[in-house]
Amino acid sequence: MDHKTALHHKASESERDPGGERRHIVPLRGGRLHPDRDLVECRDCQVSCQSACKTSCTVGNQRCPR
Amino acid sequence: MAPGEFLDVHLFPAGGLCLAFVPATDGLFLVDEAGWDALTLARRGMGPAELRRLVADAHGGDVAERCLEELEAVRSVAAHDPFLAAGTRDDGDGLPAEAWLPSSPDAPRLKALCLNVSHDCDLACRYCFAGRGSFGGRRSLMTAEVGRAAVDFLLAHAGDVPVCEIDFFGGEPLLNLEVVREVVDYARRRGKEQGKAFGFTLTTNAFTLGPDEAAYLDETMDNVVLSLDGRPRVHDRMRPAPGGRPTHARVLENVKRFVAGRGDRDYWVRGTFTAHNLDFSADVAYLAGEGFRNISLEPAVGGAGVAAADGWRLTAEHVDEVRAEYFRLADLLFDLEERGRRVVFFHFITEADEGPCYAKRVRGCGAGREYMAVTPDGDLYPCHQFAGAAEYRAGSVFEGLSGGHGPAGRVARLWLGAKPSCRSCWARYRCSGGCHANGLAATGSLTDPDPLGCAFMKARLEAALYLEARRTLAGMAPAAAGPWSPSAA
Repeated sequence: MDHKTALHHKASESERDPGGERRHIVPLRGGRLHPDRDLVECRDCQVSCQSACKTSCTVGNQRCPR
Repeated sequence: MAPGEFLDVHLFPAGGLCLAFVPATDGLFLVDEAGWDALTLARRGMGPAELRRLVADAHGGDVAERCLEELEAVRSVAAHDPFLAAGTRDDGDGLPAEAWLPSSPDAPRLKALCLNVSHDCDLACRYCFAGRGSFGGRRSLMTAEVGRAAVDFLLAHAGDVPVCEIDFFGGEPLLNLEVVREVVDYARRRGKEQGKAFGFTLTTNAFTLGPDEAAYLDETMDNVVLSLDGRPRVHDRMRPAPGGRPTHARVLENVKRFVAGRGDRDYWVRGTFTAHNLDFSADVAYLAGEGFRNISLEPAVGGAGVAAADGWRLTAEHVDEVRAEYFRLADLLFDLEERGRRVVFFHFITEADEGPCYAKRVRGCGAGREYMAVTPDGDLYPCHQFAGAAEYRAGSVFEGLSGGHGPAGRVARLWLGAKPSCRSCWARYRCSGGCHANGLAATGSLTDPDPLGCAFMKARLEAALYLEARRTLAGMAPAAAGPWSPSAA
C-alpha cells in the first residue's frame, strides 16, 4: 500500500463517528490559541528575528513559553 | 448561519486529502467531497435552506443534514476571533487597534537588539541581502565601546521586560568574536545589577568556526544559527568564498563538530533555496542525513540591492513548483518520523497550543518597537533588514532615538491591521503581515506585503497543515521541539 492509499484509508476511518456513521467535516484539532489579553504585555516570547529565520520574519511558528 | 461566518475558512486540497483551516483559532478539519461542497457554499454566505437543498441534490438528504450539523462545529470555531472586534478586519468596532500594541514608537519598550558586530564577511554569497556583509557601506567592525553602549541603550529602554535578548549578526560575527565576548560579559554584569537576564544568539556562516570558537558559542549562546544550504553543489554555487572558492566541505565539517557537542541545546542549520534548487527537499534530506535535527530552509528574498545575473532569483513562475516541493518535503519528514527519526523543519512548526498569543500574532515581528538593529557605528534601525538604508535610521545608541515620526517610526507602527490586503487573508495569524522590509523592497510600500513572499508563505503553511493532518491521522505526537524561548532557557 503506497502512502497515498494508506492516507485515504486512515482518512476514511476517521470520517466515521463512534456509531459508524460517516462524517463529512472531521475536526483534526480545535481552536487552541491564547485569546488572553493579559498576555499583551507578557513579552516572554522571543522577537521573531531572534529565531532561525533571518531573512523573512514569521511569527506563527514561535513557541509561547507560558 | 449568518453571511460571512465561514468567509475565513480556507479550503485546500493537500496531498490526497482535503483540508479546511480556520485562521481565527488554527482549527483544522478533514473534509470529504460533501463536506467540501457544504463549506464552499457556506463560504459564499448561502443560508441553511438553500445549502441543504444543493448538498442534498448532489449527495443525498441524509448527507446534507449531517453536513449542516457538522458545519456548526466549524462555525463555532470560526466565530471565535477577538480581533474581528479589535479592527483587524474593518478598523471599526470594539477595542482600538492600539490595545494590542504594547508600546508606542516614540517610547519603545525594547526586548531585543540585533548587533551587527561585523559589516564584513569572509564569504561572497550571491544572494546576500546585506551587500556581501557591508550593507552597502564601508566594511567595518563594531568596537567594544559601541557594543557596551548598545547594551546600556537596551537596558534603558527595556522597562520591566525581565529577559533581554542580544543577537549577534553581520556580516560574519565570528570576524569580531573578541567584541562578542566583551559584550556578553558586559551585558551579564549590567543585567545582574539591574535584575535582568540576557539571552544570546549568534548567526554564523561557520567558515571559521573552529573548536575554540565552537566551545565558546556552545557555552554562551542560547541559540546558534548555522548557515549551510544543503548539498555540496547547491551550497558551493551560491555560498563561495571570494574568488569563487568552494566552502561546503569546510563549513559542513565545522557545523557537524559544533552540533555534535551541542546535545539537546538549541541550534538551527539554516539554508536558503533559490531557482537553482527548486528540488530543495533533497537539501533537507541531505542535511537530515548528516545528522542535523533542527533545519530551516528559506526562499531567497533578493531585495532591490541584490545582483541576480545568474538566474537564481525566485519569481511568480516558480510558485507552483515550490508549493509541490513543500508537499514533497512534508512527505519526506513524515516518512522519516515513521522510521523513528524526528527532524524539525522550522517553518512547519504549527502546534497551536504552544504557539504565540493573539496579541503577538497581530503585532508581528515588532521591528522598531520591541526589536532594533545596531550597525558597527552605533546607528539604530528598525531591524537588520533596514540597516544601512539612511532614511530608516532611527537614532544611535549614543544619541538615543531620533523620534517616532519618520520612516523608522512608520515601521514601528506597523501591525497586521495596518496592511489592508492582510486583514482578510487566511494566513494572517501565521505570518502576521510578513516581513516589512521584504514588502517595501517588492512593492515600494510598507503596508503592502511582498506578493511572492505571500505565495511562498501560504504554500508552506498548507504543507505544514498537511503534515500535521498526516501526523494526527497516524496517531503521532505533535512535534516537541520549537524555536528557542528565552524564559525557558
